[in-house]
Amino acid sequence: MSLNKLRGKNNEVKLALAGNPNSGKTTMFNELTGSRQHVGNWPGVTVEKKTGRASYQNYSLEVIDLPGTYSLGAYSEDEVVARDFLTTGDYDVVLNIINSANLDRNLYFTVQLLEMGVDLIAVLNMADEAEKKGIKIDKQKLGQLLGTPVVETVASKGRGIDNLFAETVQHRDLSEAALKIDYGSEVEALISEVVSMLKKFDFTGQINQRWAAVKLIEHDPEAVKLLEREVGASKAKKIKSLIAERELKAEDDFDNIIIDRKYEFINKVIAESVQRPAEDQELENVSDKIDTIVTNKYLGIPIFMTVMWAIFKFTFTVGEPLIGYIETFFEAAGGWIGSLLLGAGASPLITSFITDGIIGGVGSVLVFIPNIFLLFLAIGVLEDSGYMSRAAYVMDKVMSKLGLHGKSFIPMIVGFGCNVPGVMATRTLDSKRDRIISILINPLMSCSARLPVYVVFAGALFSNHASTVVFSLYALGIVMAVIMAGVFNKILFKGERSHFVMELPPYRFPTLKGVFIHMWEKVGAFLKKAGTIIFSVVVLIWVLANLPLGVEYASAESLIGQFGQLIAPIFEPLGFGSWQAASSLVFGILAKEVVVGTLGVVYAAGEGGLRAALTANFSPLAAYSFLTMVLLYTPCIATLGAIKSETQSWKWPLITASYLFVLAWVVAFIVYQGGMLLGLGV
Amino acid sequence: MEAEINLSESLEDYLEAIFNLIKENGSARVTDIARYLEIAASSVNQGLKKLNQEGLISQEKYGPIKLTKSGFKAAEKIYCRHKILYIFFNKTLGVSKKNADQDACSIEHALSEESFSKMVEYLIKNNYIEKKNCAFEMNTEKEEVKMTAEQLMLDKIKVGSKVEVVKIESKGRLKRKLMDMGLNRGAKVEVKGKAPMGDPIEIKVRGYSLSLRRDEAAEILVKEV
Repeated sequence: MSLNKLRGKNNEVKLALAGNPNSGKTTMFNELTGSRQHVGNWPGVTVEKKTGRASYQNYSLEVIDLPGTYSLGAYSEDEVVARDFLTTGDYDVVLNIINSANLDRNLYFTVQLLEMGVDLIAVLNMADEAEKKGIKIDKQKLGQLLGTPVVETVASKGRGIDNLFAETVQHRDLSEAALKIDYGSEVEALISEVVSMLKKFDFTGQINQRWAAVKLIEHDPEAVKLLEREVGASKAKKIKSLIAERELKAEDDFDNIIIDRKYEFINKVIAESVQRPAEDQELENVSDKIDTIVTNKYLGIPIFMTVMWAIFKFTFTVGEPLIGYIETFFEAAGGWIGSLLLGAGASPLITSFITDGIIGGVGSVLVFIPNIFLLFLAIGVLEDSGYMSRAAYVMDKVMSKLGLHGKSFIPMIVGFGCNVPGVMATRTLDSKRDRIISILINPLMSCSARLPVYVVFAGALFSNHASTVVFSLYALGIVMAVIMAGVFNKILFKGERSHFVMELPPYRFPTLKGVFIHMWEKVGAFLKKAGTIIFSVVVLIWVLANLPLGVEYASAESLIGQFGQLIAPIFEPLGFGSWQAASSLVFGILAKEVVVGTLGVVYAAGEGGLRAALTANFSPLAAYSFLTMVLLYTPCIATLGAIKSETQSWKWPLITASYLFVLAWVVAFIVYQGGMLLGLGV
Repeated sequence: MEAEINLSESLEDYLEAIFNLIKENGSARVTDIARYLEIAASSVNQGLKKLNQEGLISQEKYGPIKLTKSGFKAAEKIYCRHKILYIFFNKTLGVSKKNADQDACSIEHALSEESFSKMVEYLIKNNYIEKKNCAFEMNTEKEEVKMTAEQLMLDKIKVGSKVEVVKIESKGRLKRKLMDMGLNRGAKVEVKGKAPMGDPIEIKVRGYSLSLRRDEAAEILVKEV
């Protein structure tokens, strides 16, 4: 390698981590970069992008964590992101993290990287697990056969990291020839024909032409698109029809042949470089033993339910006092700063702006932190231990009926506590379709903030059947979620078939470091993205409730009050067309429990007076209609902010806000008008 | 070998129609079958339902009709009888093509195994057909099937059994995903268990555990090892 090139690079090395999920890639990333991480998104997609920095001797390294994938096809966002980066991205060397205990499947990915001509170092991670299984890998031989340096590590224990750094800085300029696998005379003949056509058409695409030819022969949709972009549709068609014509005559589909040959190559490599115990001598696998209990016919579901209950309790019960402290702190701070300002001669309006608007706004962002913090601590443990995929496995039968993935169950459960962490928990879903549908129906899980509204109304108007009324609302939310999941499946993702082909990784002890980094990331992301939206809306609503100058907060004359009067007629057919009810719904967008407080203010009712005011202003039927509205209508701004930050687009929060409003109106209409017809309106 | 299935005359006609349509157009849809047999689409649907119950065809909702392995065999048998009868009437007796075809059609269902094989022998002896005719191929194939281990779909495999993948019959994204996960031809699979509600199932392949739904497993052809 030319030394000049090295010097020119100024000791700056760009590393990309690539590999299968469950290969310890994230642990490796944490080990390499420590806390010097930055979490963002890949442009245009919902895939998380993590970058970090590391230093070794006098080198400065930038580490990019590519999404974990099993292959470099074009069938998921993750795969496309990883592939695009590897073909066109800016990096010096790829660290391919390999699970040594599962070489067969991991090398399938490695072979694909090598075929692309990627300069990589094969990192045999989890070497301790392989050792325990009695697998012996001849590193040198393996490196020879693959034509790439091989390093052994145990990222979870920090073993081999220095060695890896040393190899990385030494090999950062590999420029090796791409690996060639023999695909058999039939496919090879076609490959060379396609390559010569690509040359003739001046196709470069910044990628290895043999690799491009193989991808085209496999009918890879992204490769076909790239070809069409580069050489135009008519020339692309020539290549496509050549391939189609040959495939008709071939003994098997080309993609079958290509994948079979890849595995044959891997089998050969493994046979020559790896020693492993005969199948019948394999040690009894601990994971399998745990699985026989955890996924047992009779125990599986009770265990799952217990775990879910524990997570729910942990997140919300442990979180509650913490939220209480935060609320008390902000109230106290508001009061203290308020009196300080008033004492210094500030006008009451300015004082209220600072204490209720700004400090209140910050407070309404921070109250979510304890729940998010605790929930992701729990989810981190679930994911890293391997139970998460078992939970999905146990529940998939039920969720697949809704067209969803088994893992969607967890965001739903969490949603009953609070939709914000519920929406954020959809991150654990791999497919975009599952993620989006789970997000869209999450607000239908009646969160704990809606409970005070139900309790106040039920207590005032349905004192004998209060618990039945509250229960029926929870049930209504679930029924609506089931219906809407079906609807979204039909209209948004028509024809897309969901699948449950999922690895069940071996059980492992979660590492504290990994879980905590994961948790901080979530809290950070929430503060940065959702936080700003929540804060701005809280301030905006304060302003609207106090304008025009001189009006009483949230009164009929304030902008919000006027807005309430304007929209009140919309709710007339639902049985609650008063401006008070309308304004309370507007305020409810801040947080659902605010509905109660607002009703207290607009009916000018003190403590205890609200009950009388409600009885005077709502018939039981109208009250029930109002409660269905509160259950179903536009979620709070924090949930919408979380949706925006999770989906990376305004489209989904807008769809959520509007479809829920329409749904709520329709259901409340049916409840009220249907009730009237049945003579329940008295 | 699968049990002999007694099919009524009209069901055999459906099977033959599907077989011919697939041969000619590559696919068979309800409307095509109705046109082919000159009957109403509603009665076709009834017939298809019966064939489905017998396990001779498979049809995804609104999708094309596919013959199952045993359906394909049964159709091949009827088709072959039709061909032999047609040749017998037309070539040896000199019956007109149209009538030979029609008579073949009505006799094919009732003809005994003995008469059929005697007819085949006679045609071979007098050089009307080759020795390697459709009946010959059918018989040799039977032998072959007997020789190889039984092939089944993965969802039918009992927990604890070990099998080998013969073919992935899925298409598109799912096929690719399954193969990327290491489920290609020749891969050894052990069925480890099933979820508490019976679906999905857990298998061990290439040294790791993988879960998949039953309907996904139903698209993976395997053989016992």
